[in-house]
Amino acid sequence: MSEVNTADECLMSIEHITKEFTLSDGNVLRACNDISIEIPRGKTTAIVGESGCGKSTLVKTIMGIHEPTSGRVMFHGQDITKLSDKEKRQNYRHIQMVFQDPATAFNPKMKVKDIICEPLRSFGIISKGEVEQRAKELLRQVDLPQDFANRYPHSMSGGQRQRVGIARALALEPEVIVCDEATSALDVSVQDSIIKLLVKLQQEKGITYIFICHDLALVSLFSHKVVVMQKGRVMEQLPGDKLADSKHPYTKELLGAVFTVH
Amino acid sequence: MLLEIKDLDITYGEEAPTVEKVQLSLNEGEILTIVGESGSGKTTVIRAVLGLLSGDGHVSNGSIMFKGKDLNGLSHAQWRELRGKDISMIFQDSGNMLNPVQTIGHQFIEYIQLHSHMSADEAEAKAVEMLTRMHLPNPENILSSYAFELSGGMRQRVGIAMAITFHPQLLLADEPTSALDVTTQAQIVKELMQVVREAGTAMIMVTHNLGVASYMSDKLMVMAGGRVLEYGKAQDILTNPQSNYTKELLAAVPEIGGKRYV
Repeated sequence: MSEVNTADECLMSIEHITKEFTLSDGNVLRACNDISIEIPRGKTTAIVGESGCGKSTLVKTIMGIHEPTSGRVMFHGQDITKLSDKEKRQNYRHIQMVFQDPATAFNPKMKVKDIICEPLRSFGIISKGEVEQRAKELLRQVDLPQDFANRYPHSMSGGQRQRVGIARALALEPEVIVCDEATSALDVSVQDSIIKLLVKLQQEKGITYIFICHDLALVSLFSHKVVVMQKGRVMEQLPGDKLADSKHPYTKELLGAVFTVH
Repeated sequence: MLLEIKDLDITYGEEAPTVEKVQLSLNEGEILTIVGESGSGKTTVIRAVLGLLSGDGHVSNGSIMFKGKDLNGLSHAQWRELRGKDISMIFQDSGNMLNPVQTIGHQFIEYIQLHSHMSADEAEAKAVEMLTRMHLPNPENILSSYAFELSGGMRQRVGIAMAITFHPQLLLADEPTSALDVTTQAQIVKELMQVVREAGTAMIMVTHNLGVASYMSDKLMVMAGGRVLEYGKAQDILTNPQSNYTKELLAAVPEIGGKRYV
């Protein structure tokens, strides 16, 4: 199941992405350096590495937040880094995002139902009168009580808020969900329940995850493919369940830094 | 006995106690880790030891004895003498503790002079010595930098260097490595262990990383909902947990080679 083999259908293809930034002193910082990754459909691809390795820059490129210096990202037969604003808006219906800190990812003055249904309202898919009903359906999918629809984000725990973040990402029924350190602000037992939820949703809906993370132990337990990055480059790509057997010195260094309980 | 806490209740305002019936004792040089989910009251306990409960939080029952003296009822002047010298604290992100518009050196030297009779030059030499001990390269450059110019790992090393300057007998650490990525976390945990063991400093650390807790602690306390569920020798609790909550918590820790979610 978890093998990265040729039978996996490629949904998104990141091809030779390089992104450079000009610093204030005139020097050039190459945050991503010739990165190529194939994202298999319906599977979880984890991107790991230390802070500053370029994983967030890569995600921003995939999400169309900035243009790459060179390279392309192929999705549905088109290069999504070269879209017009109008095409971009339509494209990102299919690619949604869950953020690291659910406390700051929402407008504190909006009720949960309006937060969850904002993408649907924005695309004119549902009317105002349908918000409550649809929000409750989405809350059910993320295992939250329906009466949360009328709460505000501050009156929920971190784990509950992250479920709301996932419900919002699900609203447009995307093919891809990008999770940027989506569980690193949570306690281990809450993290465990969120990962179980993500896995359940993937099995039900065939969602493809791109999971940015620096916890190698976590990544080794639920990703199908792991991409190890260092200083803007891809060091290694391997199946998630083979991570512990990696022979690559940098991957081994990262694995060695994980503290275990026993 | 360096620190002895008996029947401690902590109450915010007029509400029911947030933390109830905490008992703990710490000998010189011992390391105690408090683990538990957010909201379990673990940070409240160490804040009480430093007399820094936020808002209208106060000790509503019990005692905190440090070197045989009850900390409750100290005057402001007595607290000032104690804090930063006999008892000091490391925060989750030392960047938030540092003044953003003053150089590190300005703050470090001011801090040293506040608690000693050193001249500015002597204080600077002391600061350089402490930064060197935390393996920070070019300590002179760091002293002339502002907090935002340093990486998270460097800022945390600065925070630890400041906290151990006066060989405190008790060091309090609130999630000292949670904001760091795995490799930096591993380095800082090891450096911190080395400096506290060398100086014979006792430490209370709050964390939700059970791996780090296992590596560092002599004693362990598990908290949930403001109550102590388990307290004792760290290895006993980790290998033979008694409460269901501790068992769940241990089971939720992702370990390489553990049971996969998919």
